[in-house]
Amino acid sequence: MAKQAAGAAGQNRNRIRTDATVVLLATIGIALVGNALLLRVPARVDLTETKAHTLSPESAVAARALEGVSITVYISKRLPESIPTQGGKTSLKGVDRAFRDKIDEYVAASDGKLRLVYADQDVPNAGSIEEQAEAAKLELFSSTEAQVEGNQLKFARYALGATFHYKSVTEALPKALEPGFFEFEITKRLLRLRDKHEQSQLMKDVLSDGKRLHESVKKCADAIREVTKDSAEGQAAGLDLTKLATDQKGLQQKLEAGKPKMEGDCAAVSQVLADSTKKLEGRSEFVDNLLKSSQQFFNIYNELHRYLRGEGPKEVPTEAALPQLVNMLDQIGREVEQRHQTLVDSPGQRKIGFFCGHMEFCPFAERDSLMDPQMAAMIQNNQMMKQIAETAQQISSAIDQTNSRVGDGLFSKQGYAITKVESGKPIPSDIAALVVFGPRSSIPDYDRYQLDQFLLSGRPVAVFAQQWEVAINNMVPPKEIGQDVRLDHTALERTGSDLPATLAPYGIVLGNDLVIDPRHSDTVRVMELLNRGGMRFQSERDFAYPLIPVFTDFSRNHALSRSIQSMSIPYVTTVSVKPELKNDSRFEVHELIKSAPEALARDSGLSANPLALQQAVVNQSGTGPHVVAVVVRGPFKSAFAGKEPPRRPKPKPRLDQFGPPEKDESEDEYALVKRNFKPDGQGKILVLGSNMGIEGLSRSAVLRDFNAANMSKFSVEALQQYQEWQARFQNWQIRITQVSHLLQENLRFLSNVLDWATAHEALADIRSKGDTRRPMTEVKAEDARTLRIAAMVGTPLLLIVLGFGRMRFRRRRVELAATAVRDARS
Amino acid sequence: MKPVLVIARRELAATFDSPIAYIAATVFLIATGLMFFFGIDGGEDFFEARQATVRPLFDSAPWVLAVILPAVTMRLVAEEKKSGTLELLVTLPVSDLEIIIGKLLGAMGFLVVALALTAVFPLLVLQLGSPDIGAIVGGYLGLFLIGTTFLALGVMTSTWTHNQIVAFILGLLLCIFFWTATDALIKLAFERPPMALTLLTFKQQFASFSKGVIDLRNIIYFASVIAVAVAASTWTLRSRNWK
Repeated sequence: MAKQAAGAAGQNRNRIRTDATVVLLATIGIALVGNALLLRVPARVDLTETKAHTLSPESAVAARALEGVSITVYISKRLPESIPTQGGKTSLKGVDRAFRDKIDEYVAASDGKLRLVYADQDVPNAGSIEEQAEAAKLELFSSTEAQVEGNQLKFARYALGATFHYKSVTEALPKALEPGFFEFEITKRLLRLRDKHEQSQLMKDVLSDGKRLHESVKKCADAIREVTKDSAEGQAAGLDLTKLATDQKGLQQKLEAGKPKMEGDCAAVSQVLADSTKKLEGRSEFVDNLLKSSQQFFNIYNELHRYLRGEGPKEVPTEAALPQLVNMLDQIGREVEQRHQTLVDSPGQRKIGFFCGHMEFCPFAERDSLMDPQMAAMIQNNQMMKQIAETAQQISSAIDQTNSRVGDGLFSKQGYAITKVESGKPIPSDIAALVVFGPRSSIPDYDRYQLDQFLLSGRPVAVFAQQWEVAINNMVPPKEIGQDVRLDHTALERTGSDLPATLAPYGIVLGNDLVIDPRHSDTVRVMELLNRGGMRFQSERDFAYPLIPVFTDFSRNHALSRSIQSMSIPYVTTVSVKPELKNDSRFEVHELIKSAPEALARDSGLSANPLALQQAVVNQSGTGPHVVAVVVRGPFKSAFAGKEPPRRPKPKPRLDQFGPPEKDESEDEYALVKRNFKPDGQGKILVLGSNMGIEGLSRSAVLRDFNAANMSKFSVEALQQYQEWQARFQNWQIRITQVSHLLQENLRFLSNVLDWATAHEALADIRSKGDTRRPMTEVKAEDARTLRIAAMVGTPLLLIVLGFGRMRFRRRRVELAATAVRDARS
Repeated sequence: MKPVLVIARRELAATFDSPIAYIAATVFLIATGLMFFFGIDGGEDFFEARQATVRPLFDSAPWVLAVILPAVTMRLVAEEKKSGTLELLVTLPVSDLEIIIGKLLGAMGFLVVALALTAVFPLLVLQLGSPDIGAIVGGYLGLFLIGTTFLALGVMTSTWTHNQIVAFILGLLLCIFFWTATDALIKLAFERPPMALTLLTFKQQFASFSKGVIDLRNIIYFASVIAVAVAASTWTLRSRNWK
């Protein structure tokens, strides 16, 4: 009986154990399966105010717009923790997942129209994911950690990006490292894909001839590379022309041995180039660039060919001529490849013109040389003047290089097609939008007329004003030779801009003042020269600067500003719209950016010195809010109505002696201008009262008084001028550095404006979503300390007091209960 | 349901009757305050950064919760086991699951109070700027979920032993492991870890909450861990029946 009972109890125990274990295992199983099933389901709620982490309706529309778009995603299997960036390092934790999630969201929103493929390294012969990404023109990046491979220390390269394919066109997202901007980047590519496809249909012949030309050059370049393989490898490892020169004989032998192959593979270049030039020349600047590079390639190939056939180049070759020719062919071959890619990418790109010639921000190199060759020859005998002229030339080249690099980095590489609109010339008809960026000198009548007619043609105009030049600790050239350079020029000066008069006919009032906000201001980074024990040190300090107000009041009704939370805009002037325009229902007026009510707007009695300015305005009551940016759309009237259109100024003589001289405007041309005059028209214009810290660098501003004629005779003034040029160039650098911490955000706004101007308003809105910064009121150091202590100590103290109170209450209750029990007992 | 609530209320009262709750809450507030104002992991000083955001709180609080919450849960079952009151409890008409859930709910009461006390930080930010309220709500929801997960793990370790200190150390190790160490271990074990494994880290799962995004996958993940911890605790409690 007892045995039976024990057996039953044992069975019961086993049953309980089995049941409990089954429940536990089932829970684990359900948890695993549930998580695995949901892994690819992006069901989520975005609680942020701007829905920063949710696809905008425009993005969803872009995802559904094209049937059969395929997205190939390239993600390295193991990404680094962080990558080096300018300001230190950027964490990549979770970035790959965020990218996958974002792509998944697009696929889910596309109603099956987007197809998603992940690049896989297990596909035979496809290479690693990084190799596949590189082949797809993605940008690989390195981590901060190097790895030892063989005897070398190497930085591993990684891929995180995607390509978008639709029929014959492709767009690449080369590097996706900023989760906040994934949506912008993807939607931008989807929109481009559509435009590109539509336009490439119209440019089919250009693209196919361009492709033929590119392929013929590539075949030739590849043949030369193959024939000179070892040398090319040597070049890849680091070009050593001296070594190559000593190996010239070996190289020559290789080239001679490979001559039949080279001749065979390069034979087509001449014919294809001739055909393409005939058919394509002048069709677009992208085609012209491709033709130019291909022609250059062909010329150098001919030189090489002649050399190998023993005919010899026209000039006696130097020792390293042959390796140099091979190297140049390799480089130009790559350039042809790039030019072809630019041509392939060009369909559907809308050109943005930058107004130039009024000391504004103009991101292009000057075409003319600084000095005419005759004058340069005249000063050859005067060593001092020659040196000064060379320095001026160097400054001029530095300006050109800086501008080209800025234009390339900020615009071309971001996918904007920008072009220079020169002063004194008509605006090309293929320009889709015009940017006038901080002119500091007056705009001549002819240019104003061009601007006027452009606006009335319905194409957008974006104007960024620079009414003031703010110098803080700028460089002062010494008055006497041998004296030290001083770094103490601090001043507020008006620029020579006449933008207020230019904009007035369109009902836009650009003030002559500056907005000052002592309570909501960003900092300026000031360089100081300190004397310590006879030694001079250079140091940098950040000062709160009321001339750089932080703006937080943005119009929520316009795509340009809807999602922006904050912007620090330096040296900004007020902008307003005349009441008659505001009250006219035909006009749409948006006041995009307003200052805080505490801000002031002053046009005199200001100091540029940060401390003095802060002291002067800190107790003054505000006169804000002041509007600093507006967008106006409506039927504008021409500023030239009832006037004769200005005549085109006489073209300046070309200094470089290349190309035909420009002709004067003929009577027929002028008659045509008069006939085409538009007295009114629907237009849209944006005006911001600041250059956002992006100050123009131009030859006319830096080498303001450069006069080649004065160079021919030695003078002390010329020497002083030379020092002033250098000071002006360095002051530009100083001023840019002082506000460099604001540039990244402000450039984003500029990109928004360019998207708005090129009819992709939705992109501006989407880009702004990525910026989630929200500024906080500045708190004085002593207040900050008090707040810290109150928050960190106050609450715990309160909690402890409550705890003691509760414990005392409990003790009392227990004592009372004990007393009651005692009383009851007694 | 009623017995669960009775147990929960009793546990919550017991927690606040002992000084441990006050010490834990005080340490939690001071530590999060320090990290909030002075930055964590190379972060910037709050007043110098001048950004109206509560992100520093959401970045720092899980670390502190991982240390504090096992101290709150260590006594929940271990003390009852040691003092023998657990036997008394199981004779009542409540299931083992109800006991565990009741105790967990009681501990969650403490978590809610502790989180509520940190409201002083968002209130300060609100006073000085206009933070994104949605992101704050999301962050607090995330903290609540991760806190509950830590509590569930703490309750689980408390069922494994009679000794509160052992329960605390085990709970602490588990919480820290899941919060951050999984990352390092996965990387040690795999040269190219599969994505599913990398998602095991609580940090990864918590990240989107602090941005203001409530992702169903993250909720399901934390709910799964809580459910498994509760099931494991129940299993351990039940194991007295076959030992």
